Amino acid sequence: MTTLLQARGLAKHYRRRGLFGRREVVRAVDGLDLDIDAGETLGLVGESGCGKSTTGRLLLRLIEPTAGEIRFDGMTLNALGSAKLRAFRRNAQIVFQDPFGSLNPRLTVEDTLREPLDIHGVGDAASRSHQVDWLLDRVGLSRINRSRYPHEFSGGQRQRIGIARALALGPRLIACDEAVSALDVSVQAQILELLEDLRRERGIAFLFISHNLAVVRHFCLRVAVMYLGRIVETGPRDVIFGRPLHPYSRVLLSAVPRHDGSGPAHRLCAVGEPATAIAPPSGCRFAPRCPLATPRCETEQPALRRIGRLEVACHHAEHVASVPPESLPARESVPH
Amino acid sequence: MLEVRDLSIEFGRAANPLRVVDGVSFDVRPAEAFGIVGESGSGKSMTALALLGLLPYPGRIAGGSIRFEGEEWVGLSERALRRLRGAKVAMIFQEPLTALNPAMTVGDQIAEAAQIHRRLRRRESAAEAVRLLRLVEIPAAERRAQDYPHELSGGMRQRVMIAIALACQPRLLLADEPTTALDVTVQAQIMDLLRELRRELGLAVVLISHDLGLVAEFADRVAVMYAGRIVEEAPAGEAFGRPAHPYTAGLIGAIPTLEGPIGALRTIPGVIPTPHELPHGCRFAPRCARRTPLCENGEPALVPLGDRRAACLRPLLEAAA
Repeated sequence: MTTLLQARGLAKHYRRRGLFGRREVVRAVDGLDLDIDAGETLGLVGESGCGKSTTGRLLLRLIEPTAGEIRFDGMTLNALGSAKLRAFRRNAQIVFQDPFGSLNPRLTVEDTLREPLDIHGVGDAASRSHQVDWLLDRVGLSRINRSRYPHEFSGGQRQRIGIARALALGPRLIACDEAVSALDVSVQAQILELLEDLRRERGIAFLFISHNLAVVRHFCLRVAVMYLGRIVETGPRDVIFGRPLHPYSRVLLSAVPRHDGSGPAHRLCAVGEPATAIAPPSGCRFAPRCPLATPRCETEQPALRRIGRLEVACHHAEHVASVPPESLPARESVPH
Repeated sequence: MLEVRDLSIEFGRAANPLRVVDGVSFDVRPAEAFGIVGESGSGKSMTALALLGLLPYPGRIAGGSIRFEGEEWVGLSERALRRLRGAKVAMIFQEPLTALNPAMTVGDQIAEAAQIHRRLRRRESAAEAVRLLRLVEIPAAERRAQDYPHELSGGMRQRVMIAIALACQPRLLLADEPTTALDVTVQAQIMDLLRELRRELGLAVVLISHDLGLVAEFADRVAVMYAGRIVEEAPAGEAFGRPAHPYTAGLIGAIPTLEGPIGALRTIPGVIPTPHELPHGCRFAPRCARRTPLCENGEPALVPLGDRRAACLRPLLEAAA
């Protein structure tokens, strides 16, 4: 497998004025390493405000990183001139959550799908028209829809248009930012099926950003869990969902309601709610909510380290590994 | 306790109405947790709003009856409804930030509800607000009562909403997607709280959600709605473990899970019909793999089938019934 996209030390800090003009720095993403291989599906999960969407936008260079380096296919993206950036855009596309907000309401479906072809000067007029038909067929929309406007479509159909637009230039990477989250489950399954077909047929790599763990489990072979701007655990799907080692991953999985009665006998609870990225805790960011936190966790930020097939950022990961997957060790048993 | 019979809700002009809920019947027993699940456009939220006489204009109840503890609510004046609303049945919504008054402390908002509905005096109601904040497990309740909604996190705001709903000592709580805007770890905390309140106060709860898992874990019985009608009603474990209606089964097959094998999800072809383009006969028939020509003849009634009710000519549990 070749690495398609590589990020090292990626950070995005926003400066803003808070209440009463106080200067604040929001550390949306704060020191993040990530690799995406060609043709792979990487799931990026986490709760709201953890920085997963910002990470997606950084990796696609839709926003400038504050620090860190991104390489695509061996080329450093930070240094890309506008011509090279344009070439990068052909290769990396994004599908957003809101198919209402991400399509131009004044453009017909045909205009929307032709625009990227026109901008990048792909083929002549006839071949572009042909390409539009092909895209519509591919995402399962009838060609008679060419001259219709976004408002005439349902949410699922609009998401198909968004996917067709992302496909137009034959990208090697598509980032999906909560791309199925706004859809009803029966429609969501149809869109996931479409994405899966595209991955198989065309070998497109996917960065799949979602708060929905079950959807990620179905679609992604590798998963990274984010908490407050950092990756806390990453590894193959069967381990992340079967036997994760970060307390946050275990709490998160345990919190998901299940309709098949398979839910854990005892739900693991996190204390309180996620802190904000304005003044993140100085040690482990999950420490204030972690059932296992010790004084060390409050002062020393854990780095990602390899344990088995996982990379985990937790001082107590070995200890977590010693208890069954749907539980956490008793606090008293954690060595200080 | 609550008896809904043949409830229909219409929008638009009387000459050409748009029927978004059509002939819905169900009962909620005292202290029961009843779930209503459905995708968007199924009519589940409209049903809940109708129960409290809160349908948005130009929606109206076009027929049927809503009886609460034997008393008919359909046709009551706005004034009469206002007295019942809150006192008997209270409601919490998805987005607490829009439901709360931004210019009033949360303590005052809870106290206000207690003053209006229970005729408590100012000082009593302020003390009651703090007691309720404690009941919904907000730490440092005295101090938090002085906070404005924007100073609280999403989960805390939903707790405040629940406290306001409880201020009137209702018998039944309607919760419409109460945790949809919250993170999953916070959602788990709020659902635990609702479970505890049910136990402590003997409160009946109607939980309305698109999330089958959430409803399955909370409710004793569930109704599955599709295109304005109830297609199946069953004990929660039964409905999702052994669904009778093909739509329920389809929905379950389409949901990715955290357990079990990872195969292709089963998809339900097509989309939910809108109220102006309802098919003839069974509303699910055009998307149903089990349909027969008979299914297009008339809408199947919700008939008893063992310990449940299903509206299907060819239910998946024929043998069991």
